[in-house]
Amino acid sequence: MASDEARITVALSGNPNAGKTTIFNNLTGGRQHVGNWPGVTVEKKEGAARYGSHEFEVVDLPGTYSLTAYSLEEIIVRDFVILENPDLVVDIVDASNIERNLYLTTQLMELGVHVVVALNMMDVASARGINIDVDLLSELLGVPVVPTVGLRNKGTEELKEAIMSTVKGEARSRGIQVNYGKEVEEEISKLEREIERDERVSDEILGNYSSRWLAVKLLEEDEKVEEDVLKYSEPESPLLRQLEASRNHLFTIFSEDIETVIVDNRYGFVAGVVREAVEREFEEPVTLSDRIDRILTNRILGFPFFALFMWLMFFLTFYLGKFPMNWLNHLMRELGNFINTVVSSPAWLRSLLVNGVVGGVGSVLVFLPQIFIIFICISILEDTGYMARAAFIMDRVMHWLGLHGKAFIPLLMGFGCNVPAVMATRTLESDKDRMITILVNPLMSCTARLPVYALFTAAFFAANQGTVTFSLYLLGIILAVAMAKLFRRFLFPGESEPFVMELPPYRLPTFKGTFIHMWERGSMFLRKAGTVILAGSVVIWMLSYLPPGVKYGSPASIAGKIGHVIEPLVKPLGFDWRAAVALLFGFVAKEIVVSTYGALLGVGESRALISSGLHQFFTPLTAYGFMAFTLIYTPCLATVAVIKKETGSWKWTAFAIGYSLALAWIVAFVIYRVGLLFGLGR
Amino acid sequence: MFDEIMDEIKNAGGPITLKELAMRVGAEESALEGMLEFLEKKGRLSLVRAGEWEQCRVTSCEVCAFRKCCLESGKEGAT
Repeated sequence: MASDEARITVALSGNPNAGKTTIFNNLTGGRQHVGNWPGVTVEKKEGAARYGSHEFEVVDLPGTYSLTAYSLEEIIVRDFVILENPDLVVDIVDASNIERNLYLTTQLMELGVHVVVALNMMDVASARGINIDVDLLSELLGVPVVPTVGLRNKGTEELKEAIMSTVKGEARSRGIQVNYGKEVEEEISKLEREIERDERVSDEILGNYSSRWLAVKLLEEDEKVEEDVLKYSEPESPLLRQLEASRNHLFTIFSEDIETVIVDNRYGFVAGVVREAVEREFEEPVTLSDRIDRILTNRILGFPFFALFMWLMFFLTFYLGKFPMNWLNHLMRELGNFINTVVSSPAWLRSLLVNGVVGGVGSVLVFLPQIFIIFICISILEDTGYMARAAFIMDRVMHWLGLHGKAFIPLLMGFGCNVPAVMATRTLESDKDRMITILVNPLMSCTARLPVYALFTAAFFAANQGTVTFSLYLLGIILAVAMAKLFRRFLFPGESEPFVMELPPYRLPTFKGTFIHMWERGSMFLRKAGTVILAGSVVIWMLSYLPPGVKYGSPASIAGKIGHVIEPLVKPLGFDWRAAVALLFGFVAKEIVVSTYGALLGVGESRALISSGLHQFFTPLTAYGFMAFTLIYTPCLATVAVIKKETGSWKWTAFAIGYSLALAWIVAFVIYRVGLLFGLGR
Repeated sequence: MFDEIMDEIKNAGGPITLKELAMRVGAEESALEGMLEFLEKKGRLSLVRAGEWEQCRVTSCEVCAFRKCCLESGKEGAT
């Protein structure tokens, strides 16, 4: 303990957001300077505080929840307390979250340093009906406890007084040690003895660490401590032999790693202290979010509500979308007419602009309003907090599949775009879960498929556009579920761990937030139209126009010849060579399926003409089969690239392409053949 | 504590919210979160935080909230 005259160093520690900086400012006033911790960019604040005639240095340590060696902040705090050996550590505890905050306190006490607890935010705790018996808490912890309200500078003088009396040795401040139970304590004692007997370890290390702390950390397999000990202890030394024997012995008893046993005991100790010293006047109030959740996350009602919201989303997309879509369609037609009037020759240039550019890109662009509306709906569902609930209620299904509940998040994201959805699988810890989720993700119907559905449903299912589209989304989900189950069973066997979810409260979405999300995603579609789809459309135009002299888009054109080569593969599904060409180019981006028809039919100036043109090659049955094929077959080029990047394997990338192609063919075949059996061929 | 938590999760027979679990084991939500984070690190369960969902909503790396995490973990963006 420092003498009155010596410079006293006080370190401030605490959980993030416990009010540490406020207490630091209250203690030091303006007398502080800011720098960085050596070698890192974590801010270091130091200042001077005065109490009566005494002055002491205060060091603000980074906020941390524990003293393991996992994060930079934890290592900084631990190293400072051990190596700089401050005279005292003031642990700032958020009284309104006392149970979590006291975990760090137990670890500080374990280090063997002098601790004073500043029980901060007492006003917040009182407002929440949390009453803390400060004296009893102090007795249970074995360290002084001072209630403070940092924001109102309450308790600062009392804290300074406690610091001084502790430094002078007038108050007990080493803290009570957590008891880890008979078996663990016995091994700790054995290790302590060996640590003290090992001359090099006790000479080089024990000046900094207490032997008990060192023993506990060695049992916990703390990498940093182990590294220090291995540096000084001889291989095969009695200490290292004892360590191995203790670990093995405890593993035999508990059948799990000893760190878990130790951490569990620390939490148990904290829970016991809280039970004794903390009283809650009233239960947590039932919020509006809780009431809504009783219905929307209900085991039975949750699913129909989820289906209803999804159906509503597609209904609104098509119902509201048709008005601006008609205006855009009119605009495209006028643009085609204008080009026809202005560009009279050469004929190839007129054909390129009208059939290639307007026909190709325009036929996709007219679906922009629907894309924006579906993104608005998704944004609203996310901003209100409903999507998190959807993931929650789907967990049961996910577990049935052997997949992690968390996997539903990237799957839901796939409704927007499969590229970020595949990337989002990084949140899954298990490689097997990740691989399954990546493989089935392209079955979730992304918005790039929407123009295809919109075109074909308008042409063949005008009265039930929303419902037919909903059925395709549902088909994608069902297939994803089935394939996940198969992959889990045959390719990636194993179990998923249970899932706990923190649900955000329901919120009213803001216009600005919804608009930004809609624009962020919708603008990607616009960018794609101006790049990939434009390039694809020009290529298809060339293939339909060449060789010179043939009728545009005829079987004699290059596109026609390519189509005829592939046609035998799609003929059993009821598709012709045009569908083969459209699907072939749709591999680049699914929207190109639509622009291919726009270009092939040479009717770029009118969506209505494309629709009527489609009636020459499709029946409602084959149109539905074609939409299903588009949904399932080979993911687009960008998704394939991201699958390769995320799996790091050409084998699995090829598998993703191959299985989806085979599945698409089988599903379209079944739809067509079963439809024919039921007389739906016309 | 951990055995009690794992038992409650098992007994729930499906997914469980942090709030509900905190009520069942009689712990503070924030303290329970700390325990669950530890158990998650040990591979015993998985915890999805409220903010986590909101991070997964972008269409390209340029606007992706995960970008920092990806760069830190050495996995650069894919698009």
